[in-house]
Parts: sequence; C-alpha cells; structure tokens
Amino acid sequence: MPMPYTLTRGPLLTLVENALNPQNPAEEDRREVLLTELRQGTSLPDLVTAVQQPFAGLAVPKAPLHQRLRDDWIGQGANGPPSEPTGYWVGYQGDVEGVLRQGLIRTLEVSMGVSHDAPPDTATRSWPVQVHWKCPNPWFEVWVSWRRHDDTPRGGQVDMLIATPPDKANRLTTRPQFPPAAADRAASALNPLPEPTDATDSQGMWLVAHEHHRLDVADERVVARGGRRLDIQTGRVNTGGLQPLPAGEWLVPTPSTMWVDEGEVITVEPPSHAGGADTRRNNLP
Amino acid sequence: MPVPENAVELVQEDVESVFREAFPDGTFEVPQPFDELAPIGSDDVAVVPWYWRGTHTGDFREVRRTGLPVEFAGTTFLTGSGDDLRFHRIVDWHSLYRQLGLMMVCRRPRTAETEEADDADLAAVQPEA
Repeated sequence: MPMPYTLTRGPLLTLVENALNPQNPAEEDRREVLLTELRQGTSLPDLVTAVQQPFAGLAVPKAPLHQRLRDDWIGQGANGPPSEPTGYWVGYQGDVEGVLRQGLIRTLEVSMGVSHDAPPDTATRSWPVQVHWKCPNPWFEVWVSWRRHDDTPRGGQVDMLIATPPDKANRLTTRPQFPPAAADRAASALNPLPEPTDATDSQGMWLVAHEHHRLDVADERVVARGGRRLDIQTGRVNTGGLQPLPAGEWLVPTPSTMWVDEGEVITVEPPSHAGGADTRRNNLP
Repeated sequence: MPVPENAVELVQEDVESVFREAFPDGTFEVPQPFDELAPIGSDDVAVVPWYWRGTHTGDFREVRRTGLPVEFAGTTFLTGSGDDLRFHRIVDWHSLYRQLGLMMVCRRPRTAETEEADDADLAAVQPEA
C-alpha cells in the first residue's frame, strides 16, 4: 500500500480498527481474547492474520499481511545484526513488535476501561478507537490519547497514533492534490482532488497544506567569526565546496534538507487507497 | 603567484575561525603521512588536508549544542597570495552532521522518476472481492 501522505488511516489500519471496535457481543468476546493473546506474547503477525475480517470495496494489499508485518515492520527487531536497520525502516533499530504490542494493549485497556493487566472481562465500557499511522518519525513509538464525552459505555474516544521512522518502500507526494492513482483508475492522477465541502460525513480526514512542497538545498555564506550571514545560496549551480573565498569567509551547508512550500493553501481529502478515511468502512455505527 | 610558506598556519586559522566557537576544545591536525609534507602543491596552489576533533559545546549555525564529540576531515586548497589569498574548501559536512545526530535520511520525494516504481507498487494493490 502506498503511503503518499505523512498521516494515514486507510485499509491496513482499518483491519486493526475493526479488531479494536467490536460491534456485537461475539466481536466483544474476540476483543477480550485479543487482549489476552497480546499480553501472553502471541506473535503479532499471527494475531492480525487471525482477526482480519473481509470488508467489501476497500483496497487491501495483495501480499500476505503476515509476511508484510513479519518482514517489513518487525524484522529482526533489536536482535538484528549491529548497524542494520529493523525491517524496512530507514535509520532505525528497535523492538518494533514490543512497542506495537504494548501500544495495542494500552489502547485496548483504555477503550475497555480495564486497568493495566486486569482481567479483560472486567471491562466497563467500549470506547471507539481511531488509529493513525504517522510517518516519518525519528523512531518507532505509539501514542495513546483519550477523552471522555459522557458516562455511557461508548461515551468516549481513544486515539492510537503509530509513529514510525521513514521506510524504504513508500514515497511522499509533494503535491497533496495529486496522490498516486488507484490501480484501477490510472488516469485519475491527472486530475486534482476536489476541495471537500461537506462537513456532515460520518468520518473523514482532511489535509490542509500548500499546493506544492519543494525540496531545496541551501548553503549559507557566512563570516566565520561571529557567524554573520552574508548570503544564502541555493541550487546545484551555486552550491559547492570549491568556491574560492577569502580567509574566514565560509560556505556552510544547512544541516538538513529544506522544504519550501509554494502555492495556495488548499484543503484535500485523501482517498482511501492513498491512506485516507473511507466512509464505507464497516466499523462505523 | 607563489602561495605562502605558512599555508598550514593560515589554513588552521581559517578552520578555527568557523569551528572554534562551537567546539571550544577543538584541535586542528594535519594527519600522517601529510604532516611532514604539507603544504603540498606547486607554486600556484597549496593543499592542506586536515582533521578537526572537538566537543560540540557551543551552537553551530542553527544546530544547538549537543555535547557530542565529533571528528571530521577536510581539505583546503590555497591559491593567490598576499591580500588576495583564496580558500577552496572541501569539508566532510555529512560526517559532521551525522555525528551531531541530525537526521540525514528522508523518504524520497515523489518525482517523475519515481512514477514508474509507484505504478509497480500499486499493481500489487487491488480491491478485495
């Protein structure tokens, strides 16, 4: 699944949300089993494979989920060879499965009103859970936040934010109005996404940003002592180490890439195949 | 125009001018086997390879002090003479910034060149029946 935006919901996380948001007593029982299995250390790929449910009309990866989770996300974790990244993450080594497992446990416990490690059948509520994937982040982490709305069993909301390092497979779109086309609609990428106007949908995810994010490099030309900036030079033509400069006058590259935003501020609603929310999801009341 | 014989000292002063404030304990060194040869070059150019080692206890441009030790290399080509000396510097900025813990990787931005690869990724995605 492409992840062209820095925040994603989309089909994969819908699988997770479905497991966290039971709609009937049978699904509630499965959720209790899920919490127990998570606490007991059952392999996450095995768990996700077991709990996934069909949901019509949504694009899900053809590659086996089990394999994607095991190889791409979890990899060999912190036990991998020194200096080698975990899974398909760039510049990161750590216990992805451990963080993800604890994040899911904590999310379920808050949603169900179950104290940490208390029996799942002591659940006092069933707050809906919303899951997002934020990428890139310097390291792998999960944020769990919540808010009570009223005293009814479903009177609250839990948000689970999975923040991950950059990965090797996905590419960001630098023009938010032009996500990659869905596989069956190759020509749609030529047309910009329309600006959403209907604020009454049952769920949604809108992005407000500039029309274009442009990657830039820049070198500062400075007087070394005191650091006074004389000029800033951008682009490949002017940037380089071999420029002849007087003593004490340096060309210092900015230490990271610089994103320059251009164009109007626009609002778009990313489609589900590109990680957006989808009103057809079956976990809505 | 012959370059000055004290080219090494001039380069050291030049390097210290930009790094001393951020790395107050920093040391300048011309590494072996060049230490006895430097300045290397001809009548028109002198070449001074160098190392800078120090602790990042002062701010360097927009990089706040980290307290981290760094070691990186550079080479300075010196041309001209007198008041018209010119410094051409090649500095291993990447190594410096990496040691300061700055994230130097990011997912590649979407460009025309990545379109084809994206299409291949998307071919693996299809609506489930």
